[in-house]
Amino acid sequence: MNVHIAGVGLHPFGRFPLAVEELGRAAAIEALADAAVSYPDVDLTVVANVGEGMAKGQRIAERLGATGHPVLSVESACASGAAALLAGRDAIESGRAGIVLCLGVEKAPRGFIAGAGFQPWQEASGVGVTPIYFALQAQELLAATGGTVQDLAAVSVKNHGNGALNPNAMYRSPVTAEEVLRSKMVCPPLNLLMLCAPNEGAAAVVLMSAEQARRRGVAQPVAVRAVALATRSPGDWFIPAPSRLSEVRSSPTLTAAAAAYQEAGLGPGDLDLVECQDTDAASELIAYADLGLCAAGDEVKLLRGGDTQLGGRIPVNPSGGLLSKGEPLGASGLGQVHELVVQLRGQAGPRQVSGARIGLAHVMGAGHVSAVTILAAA
Amino acid sequence: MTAAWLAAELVPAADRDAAPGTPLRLAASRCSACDRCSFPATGTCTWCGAAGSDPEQLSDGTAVAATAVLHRTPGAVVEVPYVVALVRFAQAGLDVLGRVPGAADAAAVPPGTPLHVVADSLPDGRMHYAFAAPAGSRTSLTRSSCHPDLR
Repeated sequence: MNVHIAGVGLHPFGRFPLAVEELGRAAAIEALADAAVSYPDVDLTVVANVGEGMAKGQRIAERLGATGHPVLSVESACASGAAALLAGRDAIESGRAGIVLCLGVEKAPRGFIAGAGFQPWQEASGVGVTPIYFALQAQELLAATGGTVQDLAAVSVKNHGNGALNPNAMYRSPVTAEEVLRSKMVCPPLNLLMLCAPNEGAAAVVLMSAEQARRRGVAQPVAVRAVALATRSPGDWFIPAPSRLSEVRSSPTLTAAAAAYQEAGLGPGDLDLVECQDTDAASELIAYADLGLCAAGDEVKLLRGGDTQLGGRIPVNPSGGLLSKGEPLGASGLGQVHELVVQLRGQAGPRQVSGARIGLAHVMGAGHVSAVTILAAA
Repeated sequence: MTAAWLAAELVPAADRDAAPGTPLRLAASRCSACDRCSFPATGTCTWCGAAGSDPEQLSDGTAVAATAVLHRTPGAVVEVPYVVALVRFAQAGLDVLGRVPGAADAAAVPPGTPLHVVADSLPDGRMHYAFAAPAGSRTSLTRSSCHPDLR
């Protein structure tokens, strides 16, 4: 692996009176400045976005300058940002591009996500509802681990506590378990404060070869050690499938994690921190085992032991996660990468994971798509 | 005349005259190559991609897990709140998602609850499949039984 991240940028996640192009421009300009690269030097721009229409990538990138270089739009639901990183990394590795800008941006409407790939009959009959899937997963997890709704609340308390230390998060107030459990019930056992809110924001990353980063004197480059993307295997069940096989249980995250660890030549024991897809509190717990942080069945034990808190053995979602940042679908994956880079550079301030050298980012979304990225201080 | 169905292809043609609340079968398919079932029925196996399948019907199952939808969602014609269960059809080896219109809340459908497929009349007049306790079963879906967490 010889692709480095030379710069990162972010527009905070939340609600803003700005066009999607302006959100994207803010993150891109910050990343380019961080990498000391001017936009005309970029050979390829990859734009991750879910909700915008035709020519979205070109329309968004044009605000940075009409340079004539190729612009690629990628959409892979909540894993769009990782898909953009994969395309950018591969373009540099293949020699097709010297410098790549990956830009994730979203302006998602409030409330339930519509258009998550459901058939019209699923939506009309009331089963095309994304939190149903999270709620059923949560119940199966609680049954398998002996966990309770108190544990789900504890995930939310942990992530909101971390988010209170992140100036880029949408919700920056700590919450108590009681407040989580008292919040509006959405789909039992998930309350509102156990679910992330779709919102707006942007994140950008500038990639180049390690050799070019050295030549340009990039301070504190971060190596892209692995990016792996997976879709449905027979044992998987996720949005929008109306049925699953009864016997086999798997997850595209298991597939993506295995591929990423192999590509990086690393294992879960090498990680200093993890940013994972906490669409809901149970999804974070499910990711613990799927990413190999613990054995299946021990997810709640890992949480209760404090291992995944800031200051614990393997902090998960030190940024506050999607639960406190909100989820701008196209931007969330690169938002995680932004957090890892800031942490690996030692610039995360009060939420810094001390001595962080290796981090993992995990996104998962509709269409049974999961992606795992591993970054290391170079 | 056969009633208008929300998605007629989910139900065998012979069952499309079923009255609301009466038993119904779901149209699944069994792959000729890997023997695994798909719902909805498909010409290309969901799991192995092979072409060629035989019809398979789903009628009686048991709940694996249940939840409820308490707030209106985009595109839905059904009224909230309602209970949704993931139902296991052992012979086909499939778990299928559907509404349980007669259930009071999610806790009234604990894992293992026997449920069968019935015809359901939606508020817009169209017919669709749903799950209900089989006639004569001792299951009461109108009372929460366990987990206060699920209410």
